Amino acid sequence: MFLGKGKKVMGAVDAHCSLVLDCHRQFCAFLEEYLSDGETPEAIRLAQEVDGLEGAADRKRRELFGLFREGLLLAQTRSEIIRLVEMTDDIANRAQDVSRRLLLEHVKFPQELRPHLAQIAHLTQQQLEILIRSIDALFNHYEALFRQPSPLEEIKEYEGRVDKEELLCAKILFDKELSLAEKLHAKDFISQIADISDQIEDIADAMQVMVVFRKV
Amino acid sequence: MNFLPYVSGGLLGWSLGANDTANAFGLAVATRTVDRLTAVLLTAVFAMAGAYFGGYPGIRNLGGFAFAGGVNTPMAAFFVMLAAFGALMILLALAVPSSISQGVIGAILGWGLCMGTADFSAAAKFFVSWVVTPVAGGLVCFLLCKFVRRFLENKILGLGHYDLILRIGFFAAGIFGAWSMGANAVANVTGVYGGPLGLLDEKTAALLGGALIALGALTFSRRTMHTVGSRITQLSPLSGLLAVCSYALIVFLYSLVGIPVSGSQAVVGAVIGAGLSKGVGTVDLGVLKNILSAWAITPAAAGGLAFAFGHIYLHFM
Repeated sequence: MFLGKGKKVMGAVDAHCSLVLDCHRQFCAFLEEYLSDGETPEAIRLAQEVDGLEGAADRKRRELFGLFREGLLLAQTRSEIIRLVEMTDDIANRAQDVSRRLLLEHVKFPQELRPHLAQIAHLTQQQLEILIRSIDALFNHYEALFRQPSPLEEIKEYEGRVDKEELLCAKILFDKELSLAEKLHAKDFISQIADISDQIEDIADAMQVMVVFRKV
Repeated sequence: MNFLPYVSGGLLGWSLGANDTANAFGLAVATRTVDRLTAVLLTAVFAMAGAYFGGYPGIRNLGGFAFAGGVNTPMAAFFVMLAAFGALMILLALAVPSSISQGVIGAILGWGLCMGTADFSAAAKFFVSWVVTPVAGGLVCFLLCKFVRRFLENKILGLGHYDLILRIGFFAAGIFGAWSMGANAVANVTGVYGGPLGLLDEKTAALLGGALIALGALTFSRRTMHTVGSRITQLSPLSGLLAVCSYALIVFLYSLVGIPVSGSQAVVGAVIGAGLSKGVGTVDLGVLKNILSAWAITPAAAGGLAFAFGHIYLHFM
């Protein structure tokens, strides 16, 4: 519940979260296209959309920080929201980074790996949707974050599932007859894709600290 | 009109305003909920209002105690207040925790010992209040924290709601605290001049005392606001707010019965109470030591000085 100018902050955070969610959704579509058909015009188009959405998220983030220069909210709350937004923005940054590098470095993933990579992206997207709902709850009803089933616990569960998929991908990759350089190159990307899920979990942890700090 | 008797009281009033008023808005300033200038202005205005509208029980009570204890001439009033002020300045220079209200009582008793008019049984109610103040502050805060945690905390909707509660809460608690401090502490400043001694009528005593406290708040409390506030930032902001509310309530209740008390010790007690409400079993022994030393050293130092001044008064004046 925000009043007056505080509602502007809420609105800006909402808008930023939506852009990050859309950016990752486009990233998932790009990854699916890239994994199935390689560097097609459609894959390039989707990567450009990821770029565009990342840029829009950046602009929204800066707009939000501009609102804080008006002195809205308590200092502690401002700094926590800034940190939360920066961490969320990093999700879009990572998605953009991976999509650009995939196209630049022409990474080839073994066929057996592709469904698992797609699954990692899919799980991360679901995890991100829970996170965005949790951020909304943080602003409007943070007790809901701790009611069972707790969305923060769900986020951690998803991260655990992504970890398992990542490990499976690494096993499949290193069992293949590929050069070490190819294996390490592909492994680097698998880690980067999976790291987005870690980032989401870190944000959930930060939110938990924010609420606990406010307890009597 | 001879202003000399009022000089020492004026100094004491100013130092009280400079040091003790930070209890009301210190945490609000430390958390940057309220800026320092606003805090200082609100403190000055409401401390003065509290003194003028609520300071009479204390002025009567302390004035009567002082008069019966031998503070029955203008020069006696001057020396007693000078002793209290002097002791506080010495203890401040030595970085020993002290209490203005305890210093004034000690000075009155020290003067009385020299004159042969000291009445320790009449002082019993003040001694009791020294013990009760931090304990009551702790108990009230403990209960408030438990109540809020049990019944109100889950009604806080989110970050924005929490922010709003803190902003309104700090303003309200700060104003209440400043009012209570003025109503309670004005007796320390002008109580000896009012009452049976009759150097000032009650209204003038309340107005002048309140003005001196406000002056201290306006000129010096900005520096102490942050120091005092940082003492209670070990608590969560909401716990800190409840500690300020507890301090304000205890000091207000004592102003109704006319006994000046140490606001700082009420705050310390409240902080301990908030910690205990979380099940934190340890109490900072350094803090306890500070309270105990204030109980013993402040009145002893002020009493010793007043006794010495009493000798000077008897033999040379």
